[in-house]
Amino acid sequence: MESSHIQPLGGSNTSLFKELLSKEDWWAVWLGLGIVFIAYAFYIAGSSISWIAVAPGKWSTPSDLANQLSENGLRYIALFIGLALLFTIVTSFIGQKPKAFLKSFLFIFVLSLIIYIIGSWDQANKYNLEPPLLALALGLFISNIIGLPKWLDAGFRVEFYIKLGIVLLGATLPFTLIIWGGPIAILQASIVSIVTFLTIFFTAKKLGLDRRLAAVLGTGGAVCGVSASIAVAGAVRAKKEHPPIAISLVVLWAIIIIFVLPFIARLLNLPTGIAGAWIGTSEFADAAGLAAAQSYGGLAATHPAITGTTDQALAAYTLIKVIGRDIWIGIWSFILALISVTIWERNETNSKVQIGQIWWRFPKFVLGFLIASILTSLIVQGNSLAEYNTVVKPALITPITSLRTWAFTFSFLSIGLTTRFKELAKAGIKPFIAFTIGVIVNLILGYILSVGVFGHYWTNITTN
Amino acid sequence: MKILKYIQTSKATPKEQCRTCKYFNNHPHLVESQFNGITTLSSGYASVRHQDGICSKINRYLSIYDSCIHYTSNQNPTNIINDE
Repeated sequence: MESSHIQPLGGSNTSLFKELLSKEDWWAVWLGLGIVFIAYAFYIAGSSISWIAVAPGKWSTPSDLANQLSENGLRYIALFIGLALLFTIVTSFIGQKPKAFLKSFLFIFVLSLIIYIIGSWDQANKYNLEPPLLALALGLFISNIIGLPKWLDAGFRVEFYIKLGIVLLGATLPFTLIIWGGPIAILQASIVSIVTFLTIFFTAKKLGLDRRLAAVLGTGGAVCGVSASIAVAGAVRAKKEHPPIAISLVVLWAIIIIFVLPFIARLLNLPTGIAGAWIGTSEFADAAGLAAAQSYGGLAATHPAITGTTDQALAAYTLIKVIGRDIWIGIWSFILALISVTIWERNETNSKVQIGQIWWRFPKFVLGFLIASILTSLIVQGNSLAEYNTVVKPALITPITSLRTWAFTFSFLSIGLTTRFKELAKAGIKPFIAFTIGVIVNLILGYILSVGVFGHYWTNITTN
Repeated sequence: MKILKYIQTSKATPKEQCRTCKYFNNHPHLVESQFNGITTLSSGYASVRHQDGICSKINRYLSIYDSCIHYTSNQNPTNIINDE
């Protein structure tokens, strides 16, 4: 692993400006807020970006669908060109080859359109064809059964798409919801995170695993999945083989939970807000949880026993996951780094713990989510509910929601396309046991808090 | 408070840290290629990863501010991304 084997990306004296251009989080912020500003500019000019933010409408027969596609063909082509251009610029900055990305993105876009179309069929729910799960299942099938050339990976940027989608989601949520719901979300998420972390950590220790691996596994199960595991791995000076073990377990359980949680919630006919909160508490990764929450929220439209809306599921999920769990990763890293340096490895390093990592490791896309929410709340302020529903929503909010759904679909599909079970590291039985016990504790506690303790709040969560 | 002596609050850091060590590599491509499955639910380009990298000498995943007795100055630091 000498320097000569590595393609250089930057020099040693680069600036903060480089950080702003080299992290997917920041690009999600620039792009997401850019879209919101453009949408707002069109809106105040008396127009809308709805022409390019095209999405399939409900259809019942093949001729319906054919008519839709022939009417809107040009709009889909324009949407592809617009997104391809923006995404190619972004991914070029983070080191992807534009040609490979473009080919891969065309593949993703066409598959996403097909999934979107299937999900818009008026019989789709009858056959359990919820778009997020369909995207995931299709991706898993293609990557594990058919196989794809490695160069296509250039466009499968799960994290970038999901962060962009979350920033756009912020533009569709009132900031008052975040202010009022944030403390409850933080309380619920903190209880579960701390209990889950301690469960995994002490089980792993009891089984004789390295304390640093125990910490990497614990934060993976308790905070924000793979992202938390790699953040804490760097903070606690983990062995090189530790992160891949945590990654394998998080990916395995995240994929299982994407399918299992909506299934159980459906059996219990949970309101969408409660299910979203439960998924936000118990799913590990943002993209995986959003797939589950959106999938379950979509059921409310066609299943009378399930109350609520898709937006309630997404709002509850995002509050718990993003505000309640993700933003604390810097604090977790700092505390565990301090424990590592002062107790676990006192004799192996003379390093000091950087307090700055609380900010460095902060998931910056959350700033975009909050700013987008504040912006649209200010824009919407002063409109009556009737004006909101007849003017603001169709001209401003619906097109942003449509672009958000595209971003989420790209992400869900990319999860499946990048999950190659054969390539995941062998975790070993002890890490598997420790992590699985944590998952069970997390699921039970998450259910008790989401349904029993805070159920009333999550059922009635207001999204407009 | 004894614990405070382990906390670094200023930017003034010693030179002999991973960020200038020849064994350290924090290129996101390398991290993504070494940690199979990382791109499924995260990314080498995520903020949470900051500028952590892999040490080929002690096989650890470390912060750029870490240091150890194996430190060897890197004469050609193209393997290190350092935004400080």
